[in-house]
Amino acid sequence: MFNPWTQPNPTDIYSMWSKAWGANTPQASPVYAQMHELGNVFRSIFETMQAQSQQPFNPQQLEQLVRQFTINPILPNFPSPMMQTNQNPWQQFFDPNSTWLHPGSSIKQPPALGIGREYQEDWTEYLKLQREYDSALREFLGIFQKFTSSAAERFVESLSDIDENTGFEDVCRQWIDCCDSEFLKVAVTPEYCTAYGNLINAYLRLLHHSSKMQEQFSTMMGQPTRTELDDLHLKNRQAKTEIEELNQKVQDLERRLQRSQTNKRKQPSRKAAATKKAGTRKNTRGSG
Amino acid sequence: MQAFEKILKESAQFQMQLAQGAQVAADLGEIRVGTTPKELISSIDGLNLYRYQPIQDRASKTEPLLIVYALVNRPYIVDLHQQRSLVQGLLGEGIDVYLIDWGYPGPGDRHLDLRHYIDVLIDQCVNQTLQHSGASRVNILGICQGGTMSLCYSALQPKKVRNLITMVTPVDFHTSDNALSHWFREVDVDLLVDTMGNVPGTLLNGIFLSLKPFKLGVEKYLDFVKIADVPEKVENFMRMEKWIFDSPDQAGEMFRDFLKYFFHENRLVTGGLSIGQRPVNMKSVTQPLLNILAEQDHLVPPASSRALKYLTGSDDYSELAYDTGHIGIYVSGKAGRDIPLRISDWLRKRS
Repeated sequence: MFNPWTQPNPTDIYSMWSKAWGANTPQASPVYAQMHELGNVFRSIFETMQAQSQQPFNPQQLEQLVRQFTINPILPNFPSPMMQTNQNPWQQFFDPNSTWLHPGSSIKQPPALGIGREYQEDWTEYLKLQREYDSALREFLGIFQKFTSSAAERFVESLSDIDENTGFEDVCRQWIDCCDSEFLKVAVTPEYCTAYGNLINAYLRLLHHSSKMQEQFSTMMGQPTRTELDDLHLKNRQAKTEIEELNQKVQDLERRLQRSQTNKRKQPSRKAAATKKAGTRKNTRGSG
Repeated sequence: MQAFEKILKESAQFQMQLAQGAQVAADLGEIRVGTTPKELISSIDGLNLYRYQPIQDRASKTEPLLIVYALVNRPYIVDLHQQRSLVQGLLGEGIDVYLIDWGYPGPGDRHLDLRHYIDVLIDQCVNQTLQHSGASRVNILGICQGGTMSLCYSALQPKKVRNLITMVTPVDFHTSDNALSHWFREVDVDLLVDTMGNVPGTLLNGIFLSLKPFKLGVEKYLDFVKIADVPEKVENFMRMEKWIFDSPDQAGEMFRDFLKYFFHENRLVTGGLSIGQRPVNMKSVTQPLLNILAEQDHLVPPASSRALKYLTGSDDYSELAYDTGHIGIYVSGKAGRDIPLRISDWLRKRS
């Protein structure tokens, strides 16, 4: 049997899972990455356990390892421009270690002139927002570290009960329970919610500003912008709504017309009614 | 430390079983969902209204039932496959079932707001259902967010709705155990919609899964290895995976309205909700109400749904609670068998 986790080349694993998941259910394609990650997590945890079994038991080392794995499945997929390297050329460009970006650095100090000044302001603002985002991300991760510590402590404590009857599945479920229950304690605290909101809002401000800058470039290059397309969609929507309202009015008028025609058919005409009335009077007179 | 060695051996076996499962999954072919035959009644702005083909010897004894599903995820969860289908159960009880499939909003739908969804789309679907069935009123089954919208619709159009059934529906968005609400309240929704336009379904899906990240993201794969060599069971697993990751984007303005009115301001409880300048008063919901909820629901806590009992003007309120989760209520065996029977019973007494 082919075991994907023992293959030296990770692309083989991904292509296998991609065949399984991607072709049948394209929407579920993220699953294979998750499963691969899970396999690695379990393998690494227990490899370390086995290594430890040869030596005196070291709970600190195991706790560190579990903490590292606990954080993986839970972290939202936020980009981290300053905390990772090799992201993309722009992020390299804004590497915090580059001296020119630091407050008081020599390039920022002399203000640009004319149109260059606006660009300089835009880039300065972009940088400011990026730093705010980075700080929000660090704050968020700080709270995570607290959570992962408590989850790892709980898990390591529970390992003291392991005996020859304990199976792999028992230990995994124990790990999952420890992580989820500790996470649920943290997830509704004001501290976590505020950090979560700050992170998303900081990310959105950064994205909003970079979209604005991208639109400026598009305008300069004579390309349509997202705002222009969005305005067209809005006008289209407004026109559709107006048409729907007009259709509604036409339908109402048609219904009213139909009702009045039906009523007319039911009621005798005035002339016929008058003739009938006169005839009745005549007969009355005649009979009287 | 023999225990660790045993566990490590089992962990290697686990990986082999996962690999075996992948092989089985690869050989399955296309995963099919929503297999109950249905007829397309109308299409409006990418939305489709369907009527499920009735079971011939089961004549309908009640008004037609219109299912209004949530905008997040796809409505085929109510008809995942033959053995796990709420729709099949309802048809089996002789109920005439219609369903709104909201489709996948594109960039052109970014300006559809809550008013449009309730006043135009739901209303047109109700009108089409009435016209097609020849009935004078419909029964509505609102599920999750669809239940919240159905409540608003029933308050605005009481003459068109005979009975209202809400299923795992959030009503009070500010209960203390509602983690999603705690998170969303901190998000600047204006900035979100102005920046992103339509809100990506994958983003929302990630947020929903991160409510119970280890149970929802990890534990299920532990269970997967137990069924990895049984193709039918792997297929069921894949069906659920397909549904979970099939998340349409959300129309921007609708998302803005929904987050502000409900998650931020909790207007069903605090009042002040207006749709198209018409006030939505929960006391105007006077129809008989059946509220179905899941006791282990991590997305819509039971307390959030139960708030409905004291909010409306209905003097006929019933409640059904199942010891399952938000998704289990559609696909678990017990709930799957019981819910159609209970709905059918409840409707017949009120037709």
